[in-house]
Amino acid sequence: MMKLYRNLWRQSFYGYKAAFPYTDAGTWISNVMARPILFVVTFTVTGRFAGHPDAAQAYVIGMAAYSLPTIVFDQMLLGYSGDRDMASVLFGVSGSRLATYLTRGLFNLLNGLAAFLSALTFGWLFLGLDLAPVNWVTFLAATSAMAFAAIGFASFLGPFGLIVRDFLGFTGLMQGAVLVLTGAIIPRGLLPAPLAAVGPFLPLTAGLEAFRAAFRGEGVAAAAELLQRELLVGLSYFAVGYLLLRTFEILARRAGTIAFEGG
Amino acid sequence: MLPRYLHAVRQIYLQQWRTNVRGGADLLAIVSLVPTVAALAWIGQQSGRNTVTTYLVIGLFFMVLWYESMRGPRWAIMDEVWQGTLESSFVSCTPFILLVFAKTLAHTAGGVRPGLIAVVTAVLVVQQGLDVANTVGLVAAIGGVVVGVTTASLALAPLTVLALGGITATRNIMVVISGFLYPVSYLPPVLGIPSRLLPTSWGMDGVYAAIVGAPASDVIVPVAISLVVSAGYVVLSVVLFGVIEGRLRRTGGLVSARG
Repeated sequence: MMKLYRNLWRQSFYGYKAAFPYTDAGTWISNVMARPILFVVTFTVTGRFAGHPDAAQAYVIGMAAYSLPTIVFDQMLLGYSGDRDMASVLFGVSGSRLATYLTRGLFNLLNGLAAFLSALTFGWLFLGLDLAPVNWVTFLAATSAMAFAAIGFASFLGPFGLIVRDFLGFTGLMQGAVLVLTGAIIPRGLLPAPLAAVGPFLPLTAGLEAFRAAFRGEGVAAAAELLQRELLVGLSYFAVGYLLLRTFEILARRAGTIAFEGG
Repeated sequence: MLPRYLHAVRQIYLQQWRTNVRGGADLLAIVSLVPTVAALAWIGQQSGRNTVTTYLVIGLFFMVLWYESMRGPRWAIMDEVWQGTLESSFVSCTPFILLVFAKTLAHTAGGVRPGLIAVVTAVLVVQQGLDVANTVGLVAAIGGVVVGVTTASLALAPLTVLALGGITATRNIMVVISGFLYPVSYLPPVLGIPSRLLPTSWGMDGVYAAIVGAPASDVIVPVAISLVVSAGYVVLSVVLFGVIEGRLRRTGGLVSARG
């Protein structure tokens, strides 16, 4: 059993390390720590300029939560895109596809949590985020649910990095969708109905509501339904993503290439 | 000599421009900016003040222009490194700084199209008319900001490639302290002070003064300062490109350049 865990750990670590240069200190600090802080500052100061007295509370919370799934799926897409030229290795080895799939994002998730915490900490230290009313049990439960949904969504999106040539543009689109449709900045009730209808199918939507409830001091029981919904979204994405990856494998074996997009 | 350089700048500009727009290569990147622009415009719309929304609509245009302008020279240099053509550029009799300047211009001009898409998006979201008290002052201030964007991008190109290769959030840092989304006086002091090193922070002060109808001196002085700071960036560019060229000739390659 220990050997299994050790192998899964190695798989996760080397999959992360080999995929992209985020282990370089400068790049890591820039992407994982600084970028979410800059997002928080941008939106919060814009809110203050627009005269919102509660800009810190609204936008620091929203943007800190937003940074969690976006960092994770950004890195997962980057990692899978690096496998485009290694499809024969990815699909040629005899190891468990499920184990590979499930362990792939562990370190990306840790990065997502680091980004989330750095944004919140900066907001608290420099932008006036009020932590006094926080119910910490709800906070932890909501964070855990958002983290689970984030890694589920990233596991689902990641394989698209194998087939989408302009994965940076694709990543940008997904980031935009999460920013606008989940309530991170614009309350979902104010969105046009067709856009508002997409939100429940995205990670963060329910989790962020629970997270905001934590900042209003509400107990975990009050947020239980939201937490369940967030977990269900994450689980669904995990399942669909795995099917997707296996489908890509079948298609790649049949076509002899992963370049379905013509790239 | 000058006509030859102008010819080179024109050709490099055209080459870069065609590369940028070939096959709608930038389309997905443009579309992906829309949600961020919409979210920021929505925040402005909540103010209910035309001066704020007008400032944001103009600032969002510049934010997008800045994205393109900054991204361009950095990628242009890196492309030359990856394709192994950088050395050939140095053998050419056209100074390397002119090559990157022409590419920067192409990227800045290329940023106008997504910038206008940002403006349309923002106007649709804010659903308010734009309100400018001093149109002539606004045009002058916008000119100052355009000069600031181009010169700062040119100077930052060698910095981001050589010294800040791993600092991929440079673009985000610059947007925070650029003044595009708010006058930099709204920033905490830790960010407000460095923001004054960017010409755009002064230029956008001029934009705000023109929008709210402040005295002419409140427009002229910041615009003049932005132009002086821009001139400083041109000098800085010459020095930094000299460093690049010197290193290449000494070492035979840009060994410190990273992705």
